[in-house]
Amino acid sequence: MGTIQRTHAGWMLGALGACVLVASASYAQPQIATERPGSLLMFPKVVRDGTRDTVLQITNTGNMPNHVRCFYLDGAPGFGGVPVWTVRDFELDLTRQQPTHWRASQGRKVDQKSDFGSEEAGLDPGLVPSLPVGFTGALVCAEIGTDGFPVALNALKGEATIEGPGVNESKYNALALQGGTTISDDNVLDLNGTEYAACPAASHLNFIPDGANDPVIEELGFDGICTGGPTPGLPCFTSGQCGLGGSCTTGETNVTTALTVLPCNLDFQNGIPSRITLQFEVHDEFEVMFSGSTQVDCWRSFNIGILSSLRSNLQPFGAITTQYATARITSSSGGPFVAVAESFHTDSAGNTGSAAVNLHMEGTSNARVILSDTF
Amino acid sequence: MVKTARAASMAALVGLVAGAALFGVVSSARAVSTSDKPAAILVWPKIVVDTLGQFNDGAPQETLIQLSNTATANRKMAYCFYVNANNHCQHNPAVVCEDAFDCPSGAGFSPCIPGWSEIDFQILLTLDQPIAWYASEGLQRGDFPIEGPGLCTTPPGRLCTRDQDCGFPSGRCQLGQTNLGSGIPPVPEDPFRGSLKCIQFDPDVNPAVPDQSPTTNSLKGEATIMTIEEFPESDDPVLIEKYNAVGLRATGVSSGPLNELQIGGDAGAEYFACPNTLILDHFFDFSVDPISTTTTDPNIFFSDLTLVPCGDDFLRQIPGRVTAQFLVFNEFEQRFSTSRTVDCFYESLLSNIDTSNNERSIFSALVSGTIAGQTRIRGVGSAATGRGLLGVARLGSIQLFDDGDQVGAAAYNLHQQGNPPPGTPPDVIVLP
Repeated sequence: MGTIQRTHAGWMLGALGACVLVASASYAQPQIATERPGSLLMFPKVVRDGTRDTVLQITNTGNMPNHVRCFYLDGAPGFGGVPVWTVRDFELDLTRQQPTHWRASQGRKVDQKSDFGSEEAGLDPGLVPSLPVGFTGALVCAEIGTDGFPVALNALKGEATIEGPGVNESKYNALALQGGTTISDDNVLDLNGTEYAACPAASHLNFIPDGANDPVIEELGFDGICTGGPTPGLPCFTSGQCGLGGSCTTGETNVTTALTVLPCNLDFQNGIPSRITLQFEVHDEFEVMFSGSTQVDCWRSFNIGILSSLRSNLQPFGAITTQYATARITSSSGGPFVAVAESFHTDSAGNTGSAAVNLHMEGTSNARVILSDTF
Repeated sequence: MVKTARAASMAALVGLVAGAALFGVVSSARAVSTSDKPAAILVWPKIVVDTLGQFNDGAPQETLIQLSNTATANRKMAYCFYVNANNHCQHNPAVVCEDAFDCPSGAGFSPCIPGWSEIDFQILLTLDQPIAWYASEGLQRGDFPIEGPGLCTTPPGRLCTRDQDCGFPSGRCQLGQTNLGSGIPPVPEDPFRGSLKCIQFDPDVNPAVPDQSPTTNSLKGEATIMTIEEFPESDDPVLIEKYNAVGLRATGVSSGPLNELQIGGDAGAEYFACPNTLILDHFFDFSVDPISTTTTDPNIFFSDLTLVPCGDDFLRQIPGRVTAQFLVFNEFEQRFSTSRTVDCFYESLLSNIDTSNNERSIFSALVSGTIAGQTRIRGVGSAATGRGLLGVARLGSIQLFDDGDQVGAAAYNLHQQGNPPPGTPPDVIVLP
């Protein structure tokens, strides 16, 4: 009898151990990703500056209604070039599996009588404010429970489509940070890999050095400017287009890349902007290494060519001699960051095509987002 | 007493072993394909070359492919496969076609037959090295940046064969940090439509094997599709679309034959599984672009979707074949569904997925009634190569009244959700 009881006890112990192992395997640490739903969305680049506007899409991928609190962060330069860092927030209610969208310049009204097929047709998720001309900044959205405190349904995904100048379109996925199994009942979101996913410790960017030519446009499009002849200054790709006595000076195409950075440490409650220092470790195709650094106050979007280590040698003081390079970007102070890159390819006539892309991420680094109190 | 204690201990041990086995099972089944972290298998679902604009209204297209090794201490090899998904005319297989109207034959037209073929090549990457090439050109000997036997530690960038070339003892020659042995062919046809898969190999093993070393998962890639429209007829003659290659991360486990790569599965997964569901947020086709539009000359959105199976049999030349099920939600939370077969490569306008009459499609704003939509895509089927799917989407806008000129385009990666349920057969890539 004692043997049987002890054997049963052994089995129970083994089964308990098995359950612990299985549970630990099933509980994966919350992750940050651009291709998975999460509880905290970060759109690093939202633009409404008179020549560009942004369409924002958010979808509830879960089968439960989802209440969301969003914050626009205005990083536009204010007095003395210091970002204004103003915040405005609003709330959304999404039904199960519901996608929604709005234009940054127009926001979205609550109007259940919107015509079928119209721009605002659909279940209006809430009143979304419009952004003023000159807004350049970010959008951060968090899942909220009925009590107003954050929850982790991990069901939000988002995209931003930036249009302009002209008819250019760029599109990127919002960064989604998953929530863990224990979310505290306060407005402090610890991005530490336990309560929420941590931010990346580094980001990787493959790029064409700023100011380099675009070989495809050089080959297939307008890559030159007429000099002399009857049509000086007009775009061309052969000298024959420049008339008698004219010649086509080629190599006038250009590629630039804008990097938009949002620090992960965000204090919407006290309105305290973060300052981080970015370090760039660059390798060209010869595996030669360059480096550079710059600071980001609150939010910043800048051409990577401001650093000579990311600039083509076709430009003054540019360091990179190869057509392509890669950069590993870290933050040496102020905490981690998230970013998105947008490249602009311009021909000799000034026509520009743009494309946004999410950066690759590496490692983890803790941060904190403090939501403002609701009252 | 001793026997009792032993029996209890054995029972506890068996239970723990069972738990450990389950731990492995649960871990293997997780789907962690990624487009924002380095990985050991990279998939570029959409590679397009059309330098004469034959299927693009005269607008040339080219794809720039970027690949880099993020390992800081090891060189890596990428074993890559171009999958050519061009269709060809039945009466003349040398002619690439999109439909039968491209195949005039006698008084009528011959069928346009779908095709699938692959060519493979290898790229040796040094540590931290980025390279890029245009799909129509590739890179041959003489084009690679590091083609000496070695590279000096200092001065940086100098090729070498011995330490003395580097000013030894101040510099040393790192033999093996070289691209020698690499060769990237141009895509086999122009025009070309297909995909690219690259698998990380460890070149420090002879012969090289799929990399399951501690420094695996070090490849990242992007594709930039460029379209040059005719100026000044087009408002946007330079269209740039960029997406990240989708990565499948290695588990560090090597099981089964070296030329059969198991992706997912309940046991023995060498790579984490492809996602159970892909999620595409999109604008419905025919929806009016809310930004760059006027009432007299609006732009309207169209999107297209490219899907490729996770698995392929390159040895027996059997492409992956998966049935994709689509669940579509509009902003009223109303739901529609459809399905299509993905045979090696599938690319379509959204509003052509379920019908040839775009305006009547469930992906059309004229049917759904809203601008934004969410489409959930799941693969089903019983092919030996599995039922996983990977893909990329493209948003385009055209001018409604001005000859339908394309005025904007942007590519973006799909989202993913969920793990394949237990019992799902793994996806398999079989190498030649």
